[in-house]
Amino acid sequence: MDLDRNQEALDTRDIREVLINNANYRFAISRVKSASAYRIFLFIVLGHDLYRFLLKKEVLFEYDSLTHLAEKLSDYYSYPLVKNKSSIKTALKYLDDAALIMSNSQQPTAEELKECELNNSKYLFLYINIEELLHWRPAKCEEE
Amino acid sequence: MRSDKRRTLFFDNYLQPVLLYVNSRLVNASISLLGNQIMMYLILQLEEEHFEGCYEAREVKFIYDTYDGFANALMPFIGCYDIPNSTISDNLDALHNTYLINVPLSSSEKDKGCESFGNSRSCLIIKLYFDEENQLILSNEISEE
Repeated sequence: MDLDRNQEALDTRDIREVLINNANYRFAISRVKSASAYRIFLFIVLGHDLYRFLLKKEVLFEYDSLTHLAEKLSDYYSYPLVKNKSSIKTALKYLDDAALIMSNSQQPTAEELKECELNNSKYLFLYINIEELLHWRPAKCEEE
Repeated sequence: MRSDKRRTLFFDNYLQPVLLYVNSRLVNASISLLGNQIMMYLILQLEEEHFEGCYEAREVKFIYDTYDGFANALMPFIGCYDIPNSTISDNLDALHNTYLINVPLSSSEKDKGCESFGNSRSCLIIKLYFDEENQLILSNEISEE
């Protein structure tokens, strides 16, 4: 595959197209086959204002809980995305493994804990590093 | 990153509504990751000319040189691994069954759109249908002429 030529072609595309394209590569490389994880990624990239991605290198999405995220996903897709909270947690883990969307569901940072304390609420934080994903390309196709 | 403003406007005004509709249908139909990626690929192949000057229902037709040709076109979008033709075929069938795309049997279209690949060769045709408001419509809503 001619990655250089592909990279050149990407330059005129909308950044959401590039993010999705690069995410596909990360799914392939990390061997994640989860459609739910893909749909959560698409919700994050397509379901939010583009300018949110243009202003910062790393974009943060906050939810009250996994249930809150599940509700937002259902609203976006007009259909329940997953059967239960554990399915969402698994999908988030896949996204974390693929370095696409990082979540704090395992280990909140001190800053996150402080914010939770201030708001007297538990939060689910999802991060996407736009800058890094936009400019990332695999050096070469890895062998299976 | 040199994002094209024109493409961004096109993405917001035309592709986003189609993607939202398509993705909702795919969730409902429990389509695989590859099926989702194939559908995403097809939608992102749409260009302004597919919508310009069209104020009536229409079809958009993509033609590939068999499943191999489609796999080659798809590869730069979905990443670095070989996908057997049977897997691509299964996923196209699953998408065809959602009515989001129409993958006609090659024999029925052989003489209509495959000339560029030579009449002796079969080709893969994938059709999408849009209404006058540029929203994707299901293939089972298209009346046979």
